[in-house]
This record gives sequence, C-alpha cells and structure tokens, in this order.
Amino acid sequence: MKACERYLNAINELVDGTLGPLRRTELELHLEGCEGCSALAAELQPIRDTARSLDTMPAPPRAWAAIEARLRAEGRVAARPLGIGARPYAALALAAALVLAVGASLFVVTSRNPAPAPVTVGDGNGNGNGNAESVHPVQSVESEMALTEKHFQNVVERADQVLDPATAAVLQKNLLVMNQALEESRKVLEADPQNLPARQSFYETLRQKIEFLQTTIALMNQMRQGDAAGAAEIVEGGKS
Amino acid sequence: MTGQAVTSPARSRAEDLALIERCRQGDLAAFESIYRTHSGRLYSLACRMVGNPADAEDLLQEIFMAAHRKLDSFRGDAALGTWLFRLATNLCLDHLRSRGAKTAGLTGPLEDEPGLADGGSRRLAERTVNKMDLERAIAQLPQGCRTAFVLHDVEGLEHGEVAEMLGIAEGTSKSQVHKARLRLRAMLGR
Repeated sequence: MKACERYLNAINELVDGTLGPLRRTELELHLEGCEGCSALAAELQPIRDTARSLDTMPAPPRAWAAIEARLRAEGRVAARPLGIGARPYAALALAAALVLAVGASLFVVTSRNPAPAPVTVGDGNGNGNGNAESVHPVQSVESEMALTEKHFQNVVERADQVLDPATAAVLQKNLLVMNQALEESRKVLEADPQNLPARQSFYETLRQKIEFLQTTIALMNQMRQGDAAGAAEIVEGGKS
Repeated sequence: MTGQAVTSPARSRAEDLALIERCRQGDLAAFESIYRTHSGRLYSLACRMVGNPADAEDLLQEIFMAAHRKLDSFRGDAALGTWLFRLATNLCLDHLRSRGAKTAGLTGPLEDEPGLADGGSRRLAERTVNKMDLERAIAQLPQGCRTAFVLHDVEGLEHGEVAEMLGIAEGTSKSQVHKARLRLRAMLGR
C-alpha cells in the first residue's frame, strides 16, 4: 500500500521531531486508519535513527604521514625537535634528518643563486645611500638574535658533559652544518641583498638554529635532573 | 550550526586557540594533535559525501593542507571543529562539482519514489537497521540527495544550515532528504 502524498512532509517532520502539536495530532489520527502512511512512518524512523548513530570511521593510518610530508616539503612546519637520552636512536635519526634538511636548504640557496655579481652600493663617489638597513637586511635581524644565540651556544658547547659522546657529536655536527648554511646564505646576501629566496633561507636556517639550541638545552636540563620521561617528551616534541 | 558537527571533542575554545597559535609558529606536533582529534569525523564526512574511500582519503589530505594554509583566518569565532567541518564540506562539494555531479540536482518528483510504497518483503520497522547495510545504501544514493542526507540525518545539521552550505532553498533540502530516506527504505527493505 502506498503512503498518501499529502502526508509525506508531515511524516518526515514527525521522524525529525519537528512536527508541531496540531499537525501531529492530525497526522496521528490519519496514521491510525492508513496502513501505507503508518508503515512509512514506522520504517523511516529507524533509518533516521541509525543514520544519526553511524560510527566515525578511522582515518587511514598513512594519511597523516602524507600530510606531514607535504607540510615539510612546502616548508610550513619547523624542523623536527631533536631529542636523546631515553631513546638515543630516535635522537640520532632526527639529528640526521635535520642535517639532511639543512643540507637541502643550502643546496637550494647555492644552486638557485650562482655567484651573483657584487652589488655596488652608493653613487660611485664613495658615498653610500644612507640606508644601511636596505643594503644588509640580514644584519638587523641577525644582531637581534646574536646575544640569544651566543648564550645558547655557550651552554650547548658543554653538551658532552651531560649527554653521551655519540649524541653530543651529532649535535655538534648539526650546528656545524647549520653554521655553514648560514655562512653561505650570508655570502649570497652580501652580494645580492635583495635575493628573496636566499633571505628566506637565511632566516629559516637561523630560526632552526635557535630552536635547535633551545631544544638541546631543554634536553640537557632534563638529563641533568635524571628525568628520562621528560627527555622522552622533548624527543616527541611535547616540551621545549 | 546546531548539529553534532559543531562540537569540538574534549577541548575548550582556549585550548583550540593555543593549539592554533602553536601551529602558526610551525609546530607540527600541535597540528598533529588537531588532526588526531578531528580526522576521523572529517574522513567519515568525506567518505559518505563522495561515496568512496579512495577519494575520501585524498580529500582528507586536502582538507588538512587547506586548514594549515588558512590557519591565519581562524579567529576563534566558531569552534575549531565547526571551522574544519565547514572547510571539509566545501572541499567535498568542490570535489563533487569537479566530477560534474549536480549536488542540488533533483532526481524526480517525490511521489515517484519507489520507497513510497510498502512493498518490501521485510518491514524495516520490525528489525534494526544494520549500520553496514545503511552505509552501503547511502553510497548508492544519487549525489544530490546523498549530500543533503549526510549533512542532515548523519551529521545533524538543520535544513537551513544544509541549504546554506549547498546553496539551495531550505525546501529543496527537505525534499532531498525525504527522497533519500525513501530510496533507502526501498533499498533496505529488499
């Protein structure tokens, strides 16, 4: 038996729980005498209720790895936090990844900007343009970060007193690679101060270095306190 | 938005904003935390809206890549879950449009729907609707009514909200949901 067309909307609103009291009373009277409509109402209700209770499907496990890879490829997330102590293998792997990342950024700078000709600043008569900031945009940022960097650097140089020798060596190697990358970027920018990719690479590497130093110090503090769990949290990026 | 999609599971607005701020600073762990909280719901939405898991997995990536790109536009006026849900819905709709589907397309008069007649060999009212059967049946719905059904009956949005998202009239949303229910009744009653 087919349901009555004139009651279709009311039946659906009844199923939704949005039918007003007057129309509900009218519909209920109709349902008592109409087999088609009462069957429809009775059968739509479990469909609607089951739909509302459908389970959340777990996202495929590989989906996050793909997103993470894309974010890293687009340079939109920071380098992996470096950690050691409770899980030295993880720290070494992360350190190696950072070396690769920094090495890659160095490659980008040097390959995209092959030895540009030095820029002559001034009017040719020994007079500058009076705008040192625009000539060396790196210097102002670098000087602001220099004190922080120096402080962190002094602490990290004592890493081998706290960390195991292999990990300390990886840390120092990371620093060396980052310093080389910074030096290369600095050379490119001295020759071509307006080189945007080189400037971005320089700032990113500098930021990575500061973050790296901060993370390393946090890790050393945890190790000094014998807090392996805290060190592990830093490895996982839970602290810094 | 009043449906279940609005809720941001287990996190306060302040916690969401703190996470977003960390994401803006390039903190991957913060973004992963957001992903872990919301990916299941958004993947489910994508799966049901586009009708197949492979496309839904691609869409899930696009949703979170777009979310990361648009973090600066998140002001915290809405819950993070709501913001992500809207973003996800729009990307799913874009995907469907790019496939040439007419999301608001009608599939014929309501009174012609086969589910209108009580001709099933088993009466649905006398048994519980199996969730897996329902999932399969939803995937077989025509695109137009499936989208409205998923947003309204599964996700719990009001018809006005569905209409706004789909760019259709509220009456059209009701009609599409009714049509979907009738089709499901016919499929599940076989």
